[in-house]
Amino acid sequence: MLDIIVYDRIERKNELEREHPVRMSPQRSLEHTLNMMDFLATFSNNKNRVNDSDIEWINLEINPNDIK
Amino acid sequence: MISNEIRESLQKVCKALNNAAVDFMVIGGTAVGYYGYQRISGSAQYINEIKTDLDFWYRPTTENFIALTSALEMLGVPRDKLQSIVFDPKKTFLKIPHKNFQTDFLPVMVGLESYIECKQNATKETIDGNEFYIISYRDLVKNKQALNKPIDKTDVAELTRRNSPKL
Repeated sequence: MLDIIVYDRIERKNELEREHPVRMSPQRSLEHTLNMMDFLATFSNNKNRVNDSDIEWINLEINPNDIK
Repeated sequence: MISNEIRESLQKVCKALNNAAVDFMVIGGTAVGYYGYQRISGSAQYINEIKTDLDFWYRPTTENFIALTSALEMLGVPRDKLQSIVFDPKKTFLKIPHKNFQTDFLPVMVGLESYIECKQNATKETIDGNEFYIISYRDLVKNKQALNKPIDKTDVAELTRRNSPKL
């Protein structure tokens, strides 16, 4: 429930931004994007995966603990 | 300052790619955001098209692919898995699935013919001490126009609006 409230709040904020976009520096915009991506990734918990049906992906499974 | 998992992954991947001297550039939603449209915010409209991922375009040559496999090994991909891949400069799309997102490596981009030309147009950027190139605005739009899915059309419209001199 908390996630939904937070998401809704962010969506409303972003609707405002879409209607009245503010030009940020590319660096700041990139940082903002990474924050948004992280939030959505956590929120969606990988449920909304896209099936890239026209691409044959090679999956490279790794153990996250192995990342150096 | 590392503040989240996506940013931390971007840092780790760029560091590994740079250490292995891989020729690559950042594409996808990260590039869209770089040019001013945090499209992740409009996700509710495109729930079936959501991709929370980090996308990288690597130069599709054998030499660069070998460098890429070295970087991927640094990132924890088992060597035997990497050695089993037969490199095809048009078909070797690689994906590292994480718990909440994925990291993708593409050898080709729809609508863009020359990696070298696009790299020359790309912008150099640094984040958290790691240097990387981001696909140029013009090439990003060209790719989106060629893909032409609803989300790509919106990306182009929003990017055009946000990069208009009137804004």
